Amino acid sequence: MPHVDELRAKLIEDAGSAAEADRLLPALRHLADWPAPTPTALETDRLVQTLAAELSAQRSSSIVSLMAGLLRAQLRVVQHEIWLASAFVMTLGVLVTLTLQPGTSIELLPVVLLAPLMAALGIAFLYGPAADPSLEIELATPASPRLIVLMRLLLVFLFDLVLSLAGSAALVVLQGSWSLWPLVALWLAPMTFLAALAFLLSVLFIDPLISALICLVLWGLQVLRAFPPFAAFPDWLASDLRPWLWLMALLCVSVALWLAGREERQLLKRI
Amino acid sequence: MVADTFTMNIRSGPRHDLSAPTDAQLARRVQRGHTSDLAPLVERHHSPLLGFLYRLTGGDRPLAEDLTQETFLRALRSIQQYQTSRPFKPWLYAIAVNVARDHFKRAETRHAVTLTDDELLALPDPIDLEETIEIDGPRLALAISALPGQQREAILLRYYQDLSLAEMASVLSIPIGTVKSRLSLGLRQLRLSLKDEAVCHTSMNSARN
Repeated sequence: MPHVDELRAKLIEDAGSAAEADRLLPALRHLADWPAPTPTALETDRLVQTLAAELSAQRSSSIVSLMAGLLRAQLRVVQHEIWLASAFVMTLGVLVTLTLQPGTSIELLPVVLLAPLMAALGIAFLYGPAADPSLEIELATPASPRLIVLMRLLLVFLFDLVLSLAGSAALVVLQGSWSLWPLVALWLAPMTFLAALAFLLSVLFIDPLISALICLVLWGLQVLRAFPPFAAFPDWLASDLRPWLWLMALLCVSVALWLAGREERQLLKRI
Repeated sequence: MVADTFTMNIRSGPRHDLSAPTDAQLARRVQRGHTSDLAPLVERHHSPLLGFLYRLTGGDRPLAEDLTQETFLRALRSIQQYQTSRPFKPWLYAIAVNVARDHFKRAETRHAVTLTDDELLALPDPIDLEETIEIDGPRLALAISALPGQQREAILLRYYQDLSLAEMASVLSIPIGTVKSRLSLGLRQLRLSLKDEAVCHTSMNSARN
């Protein structure tokens, strides 16, 4: 009976001697008299389902907590001047808009003209060694620097978005001449595009000043459209251009993240 | 019949198709969040693990099922800590042993065993049981359940789960020498328990006759 030999061999290994193994063998053979239950396929399926639900919950909670952690961390890293300058510019824009005569064209409202520029200038200063003193530490963390930059972009953009929404809402409440949604729709797409473009330019040129300057010139042309020599420039506030602006914003962020990833790999190689 | 059952039990571990992914490969994919790889991993280990915990809990099936689920849940929660360069089975059984120990600690369900290891070693060898005892599943379950926890774990891991001494050492976080000593003491204690059972059984039969 090979199984007895197998058992005996195991016992000799465990007990250290053949004599001891032979003394233990009779007891060991009785261990097989105690069968264990076998789970049914349904029970196994149920267990797999429970575990799969746990795995999904675990993943979502870890992704959410990672994102929240990164956002919190970026809050400390982003230069404080960006928050202060944005809040100051938006408050000023709302105050100036309130002093305007009723009947002023909605497209010329300072809030509409300032919101995209404010977001672009804030975001232009997010990337690059000058704007990122903690770059070396970021490269050593498990989170990809590309993800960190994306979180920072999101944080500043969300802040500017909230500011612009609050400014627009304040105007609607205090002035009463405009509705909220048409006002928001006017600046939202240009603001997103200009912010995305600023991000791409700062990744491309590394120097935030160049990025800020290009955005300033581009948006300046939009503002100067009111004057005949600049009327040929495409109107970013026109509703038929909005889908294109959204698309180009997506493209700019994608290219910028790809470039940032490449930059990050080169930096790691150099380190 | 005994031989068949034993052969079935001792070889009831997972049989892998050579082309099928290994436990470690499946675990690595689960670590990356592939839910679909959870099913084959669980299917491979559910039955043996339930069997192990069933015997460890003295044949309490509902409790064994709860502990099995808890083991898998705990394994899943700490799956990122599993090093795929090491075998998966000992890692999983180490979690199962800890889950069972936690349960026993909480519920104080373990029966006290009064004899110490030194006292056991000092006892004379019992008579050969092969010729004198008719043992069945429930009595054996009782005898194994009465073993001190550490010896019981060692006996079950070695003779039912078919773990090597090195794997047991990894599961129990003890040196191989200690594994051997626990096995030897466990078998010795088991023989004593079975002998007592046999004496009682024989006395009862004589009284009936």
